[in-house]
Amino acid sequence: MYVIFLKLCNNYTTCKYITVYFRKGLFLLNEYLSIANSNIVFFICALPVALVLVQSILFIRMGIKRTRELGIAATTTKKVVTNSVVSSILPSLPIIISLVALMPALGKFVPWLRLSVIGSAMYESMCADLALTSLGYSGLGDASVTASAFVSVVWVMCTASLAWPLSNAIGLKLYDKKLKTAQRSGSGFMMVAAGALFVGMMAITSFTRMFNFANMRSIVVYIVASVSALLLDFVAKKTKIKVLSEFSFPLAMVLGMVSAIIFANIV
Amino acid sequence: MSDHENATINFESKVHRYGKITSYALCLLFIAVPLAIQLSFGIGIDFAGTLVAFVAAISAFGPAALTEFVSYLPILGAGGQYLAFTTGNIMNMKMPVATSGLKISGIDPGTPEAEPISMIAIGISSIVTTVILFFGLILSAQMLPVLQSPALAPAFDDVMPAILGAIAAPILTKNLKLSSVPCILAAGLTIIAGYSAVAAKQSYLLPIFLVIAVAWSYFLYKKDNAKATANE
Repeated sequence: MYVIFLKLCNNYTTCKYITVYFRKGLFLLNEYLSIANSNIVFFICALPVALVLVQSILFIRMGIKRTRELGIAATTTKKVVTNSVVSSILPSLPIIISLVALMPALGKFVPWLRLSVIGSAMYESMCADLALTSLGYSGLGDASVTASAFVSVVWVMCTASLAWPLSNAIGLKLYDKKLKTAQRSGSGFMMVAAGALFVGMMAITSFTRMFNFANMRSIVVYIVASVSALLLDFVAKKTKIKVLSEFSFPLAMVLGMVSAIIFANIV
Repeated sequence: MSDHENATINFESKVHRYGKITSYALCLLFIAVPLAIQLSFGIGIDFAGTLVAFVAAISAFGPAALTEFVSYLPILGAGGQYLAFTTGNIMNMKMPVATSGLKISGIDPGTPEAEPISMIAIGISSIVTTVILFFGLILSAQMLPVLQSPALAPAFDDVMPAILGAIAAPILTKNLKLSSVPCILAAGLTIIAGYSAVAAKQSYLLPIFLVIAVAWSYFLYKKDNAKATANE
């Protein structure tokens, strides 16, 4: 490892001293982006993404086989598939914005990897920024980030997120066994409890948005989407148009998003 | 043991076997990514600095992972959780498609039928998101002007309230008595503490509200049972 100190001066008035690390050749400032955007990094990042696809196909096949064992109609399974496809398209699009937002600082492929696998746009930006500030930089967008620091950030982003799959790998089987034992041996209350869990989740993750007074538009969107979902289900029941009920979620979501555009233009 | 019981044991065993294998494989691949970059380009790192950064990140996100591990299983099922924890984007995609899948198939959560439906819905969603993000990667220059256009920006900025409103309304209105206490408490907490404070602590509040909802449902269940017994 070699270290050189560069004195960079701007118009002979301000100068800053930059430490540059290099091993096999000289890595100039911001040359880490040429590493980050290289074909090698693309192929390295593509492997976990490929694993996600393999796992998904494996579990879908297991799920379909199980639905047949339980006597669930193939038409029902097809509806679930169609609904899942339609409902996943729109919510995936904003993630592309986060992907592009991270590209200038982290290159093309690491954000792609992180947002595709164990992804959360919020976590990735925070994690990368936290890693850089811990290493002594000002954060994402710091122009003095070196190749070494970039790799450190990749280490942190990849290893910190392992908490999720690792907790499953280590503890999920035992936890699931305990839960299923409780469900099978419990009285009718276990069925009630399962529904209550959904209610509890919706109360704290969703209902709270009705009171986001700092963002009135989001309240309007939430109400429009909620009312739309209920209305679509109601109309589907009355008119027996099943497709309305099957697509009530994506339709209500789109109507909510449209109301955001209308609200933004009115207010 | 009946064929049905054998099939159930076989299914559950396979889910955990492949879930563990793919989860461990993912962990190995994730460690391989930065290691391979280091080895390919001959880059050294500041080990102490990286360790400090790792500790900071795991301190921030580790507790969230644990609370989500505890909270999501009863809702997503084991297969759904293996998938959801691999791809992420749980609240904005995996949970809504699993919930929507159960609703349109007329299956109640917590039943044996719920698990495969949840697995299929989440697996499909994972594939769709992965494909879209891949196209986003190669076509980002073309897609970004559309996605960030001033006309569409409000819609994408508020995609989460749209998703959560559409998903929550049928669930919360299905049994208003059951929803009452959790919703009133959530509303009160949000009004007092402010939405951003509640949203920031959501991962920690989630298991608390699951317990509140189950406790309240147990109270109602006992009350209804006592009433039914008294009427007999």
